[in-house]
Amino acid sequence: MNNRGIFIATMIMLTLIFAYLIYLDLKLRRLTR
Amino acid sequence: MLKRVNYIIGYLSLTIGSYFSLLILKPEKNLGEIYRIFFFHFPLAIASYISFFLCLVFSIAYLKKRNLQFDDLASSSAEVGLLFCILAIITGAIFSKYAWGEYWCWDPKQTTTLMVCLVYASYLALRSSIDEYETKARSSSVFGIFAFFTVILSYVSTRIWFSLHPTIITRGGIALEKEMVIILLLMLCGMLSLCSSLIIINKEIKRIERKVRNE
Repeated sequence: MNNRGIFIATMIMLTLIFAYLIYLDLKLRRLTR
Repeated sequence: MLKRVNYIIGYLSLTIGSYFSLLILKPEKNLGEIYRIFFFHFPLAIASYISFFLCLVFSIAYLKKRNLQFDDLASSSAEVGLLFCILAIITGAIFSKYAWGEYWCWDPKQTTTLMVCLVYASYLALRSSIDEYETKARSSSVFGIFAFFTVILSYVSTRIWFSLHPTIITRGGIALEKEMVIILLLMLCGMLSLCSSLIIINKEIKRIERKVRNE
């Protein structure tokens, strides 16, 4: 895999991690309301 | 609002940092392409040290104020710190394979970092073995304070023993080229935002869990 492939994989992972964080945050907000 | 800003800062810094470290920087003379993993390894290690430091601070705060919120923060910091520490060890082992020839060389840095991982894993094991909240918080706070000595040992290990691991932060500053330092700081900023977001969310989950159990 070249650097471009690693970069795309990193970006997909980062996006998934932050999307999950935002999902958890919203869920927690709904629970604590 | 502050949380959203934190997410945006984290995402943007990690994206820009990854772009520059993976695609823009030229390969290094001796190590070639593999040195790019350093831009992930170093921020992960520093973020784990900072998480463990937070665990120490919140443990002391709990023992002083006896507020369970501090205990939640201390245990969340320890959990996130452990996760980052394991990732730092894995990235370090990959780097070590290409730089030193073996995944694991029992170098003082590797050994002491493994020690840190084991000590904080036992911190979490201790927490899970006690049911009563006050007792759990008190004993794990004391453990959390003493556990931080292993983090100090890991940090100074390259200075007190012979080690192949380079010392990046010296008294004269950071021993790297200027462009590498900028990318490294960007990645560090992103990792710290990610780390703080995880700690805050983890702490909220623990608070809700306690509330549900008490009802």
